[in-house]
Amino acid sequence: MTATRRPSILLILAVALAVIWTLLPIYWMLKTAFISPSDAVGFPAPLWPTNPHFAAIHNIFGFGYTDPDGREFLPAGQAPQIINGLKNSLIVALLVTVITLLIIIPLSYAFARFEFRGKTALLMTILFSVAVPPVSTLIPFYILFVQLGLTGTKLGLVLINLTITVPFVTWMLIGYFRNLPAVEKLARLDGFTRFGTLVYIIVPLAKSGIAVAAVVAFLFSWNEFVFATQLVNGTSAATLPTAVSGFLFLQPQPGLLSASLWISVIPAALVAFFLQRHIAEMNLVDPVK
Amino acid sequence: MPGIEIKNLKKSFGEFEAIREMSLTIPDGAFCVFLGPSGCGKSTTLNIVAGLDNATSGTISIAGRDVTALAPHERDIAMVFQSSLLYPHLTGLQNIQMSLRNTDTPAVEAAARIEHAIEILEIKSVLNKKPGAMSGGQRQRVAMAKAIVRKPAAFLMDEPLAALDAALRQSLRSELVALQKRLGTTTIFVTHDQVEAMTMGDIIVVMNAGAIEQVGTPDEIYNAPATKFVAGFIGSPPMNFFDGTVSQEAGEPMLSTEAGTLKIPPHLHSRIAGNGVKHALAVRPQHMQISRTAQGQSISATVFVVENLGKESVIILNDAAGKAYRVLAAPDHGYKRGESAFLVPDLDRALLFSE
Repeated sequence: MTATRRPSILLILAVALAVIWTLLPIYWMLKTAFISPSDAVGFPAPLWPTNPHFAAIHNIFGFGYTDPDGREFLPAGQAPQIINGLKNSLIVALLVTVITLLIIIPLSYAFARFEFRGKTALLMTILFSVAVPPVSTLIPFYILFVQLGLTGTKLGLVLINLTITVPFVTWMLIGYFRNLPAVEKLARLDGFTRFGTLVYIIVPLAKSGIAVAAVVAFLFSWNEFVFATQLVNGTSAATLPTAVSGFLFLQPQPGLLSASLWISVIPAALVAFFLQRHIAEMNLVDPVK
Repeated sequence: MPGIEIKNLKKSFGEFEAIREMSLTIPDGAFCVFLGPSGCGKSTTLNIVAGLDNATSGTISIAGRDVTALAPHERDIAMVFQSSLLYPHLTGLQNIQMSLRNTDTPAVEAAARIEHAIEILEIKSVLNKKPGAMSGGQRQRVAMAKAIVRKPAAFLMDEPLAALDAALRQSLRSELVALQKRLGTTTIFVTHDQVEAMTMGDIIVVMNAGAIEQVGTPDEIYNAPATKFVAGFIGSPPMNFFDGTVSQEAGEPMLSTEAGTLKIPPHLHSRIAGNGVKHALAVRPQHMQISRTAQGQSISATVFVVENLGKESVIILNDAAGKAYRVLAAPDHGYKRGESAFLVPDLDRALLFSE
């Protein structure tokens, strides 16, 4: 690291601009949950919730709410879908994350550290599948899943998410594994088998890279909307993004939409928050300082 | 019983012969240095002795046991790698413990050995640090501790000091030798640094292009090099070679070089391979004089560079054919770049190699 210098005014301005640019829409979206429905549709909309109002937060979880003015707000009709969507999203995202890790750790390790016949061709195949836009495989997958009876199931959604997370994260981790020091020699002298080396040495050594891979897989699956809309929307396997989209397309209610987005943002934010140390640590050139 | 025995070892990578044919016996308890330029096969040999690499043919015995077919951890060895490689995610103590994790050493015994190693290497202060937070010297000590807790029959070291700065390298050199002598464990130490080899080794194995050039004590290697390669590789500043062909003049063998003729002294007559054959007279820089006048056996040359080393100077001269020679002189020699002078080799101390 170079010597710390006082950041210049221009730098501060640039950072501030970038932060506002990114966070303002999110703020605008999230604050609406704490504004009464009448204020939310008024013009101009309030900049911040001067009179915090908690109807939407209650309604979205299926509770009624009476505000200080005595107005009554009924539970949202979609509350069961939101709760169910939250549950489904968590199940799908966790499954996708765990299965992705189980596949990609040995896969990218093998690509990074071993020489074998057909390595380049296989690597190119993986790179290619990262390059294919997911939308182009949507219709084929749909037809396939109808025939296999996988539409409307969480299993189907997990499978389809894996087709994207596995190649993408493998591609990410190969470079990371490649730059690890040659501890395999050390491990062989210490009596570890190849598999033992992977489990007891490489995985703990590479935990930052693996954590980042997990975040990427989790967030991708958590936010996945296109496939979910086609495969599970309207069924008991619907995930949170599809359930939330109902407030946008079926019955526009800004407060409820905003409250449901809180539900969708919080787990993702928590995951990112707890693993951000690893994200910052994951130095692709020199993984272990 | 020999400490390590290598018999008829060969190693090829496809067409490339990394080790052509090698047999070597290292006495029990000896500190044996493998010395050679990069790519000479010294690290490959070490890896084969360790079991990290397989030989194409040949056998390896350690402490009288044939280990050729055994995995590295079954060979009763400990290895210290280049730059003292350690597990970067583990603390010093955990790194040392790893050495005994997959052995059947009883816990009490393991703890005692680890404590002993910590004591003799004085690494108490770095036990809870990770390698990234240690200095190069501390890493080296932890790597040594990791090696000695195994109580192996042999230590194998692959340029462990190469990445350290000069001052540290010097102090660790003597420490490492003292430790090895104290433990009496047969050791192979791979290096490309001749100073390391000369100062540390009981035996030096000079390797070149996949084969052994010479095995000997530092004294033998320096004073009686077996081949021209060894003569040129050992010694700093390097050996001077007068290359030419042998002919007889008035019954006396002479060496005709491009820049002049030198009489081959009697003690080297037995080494002459024949008239008309290419030979090289080898003379160390400290056995060369520089003179302003021709005297006896001398060759005229021009001063090319003067390197002042403080207590002495290295004068590099070019002969008429442009070939460089080095002369070690007292710092008050007074010669300047571009000056004409005569090289006077002390031929009584010269060596002769035929090609």
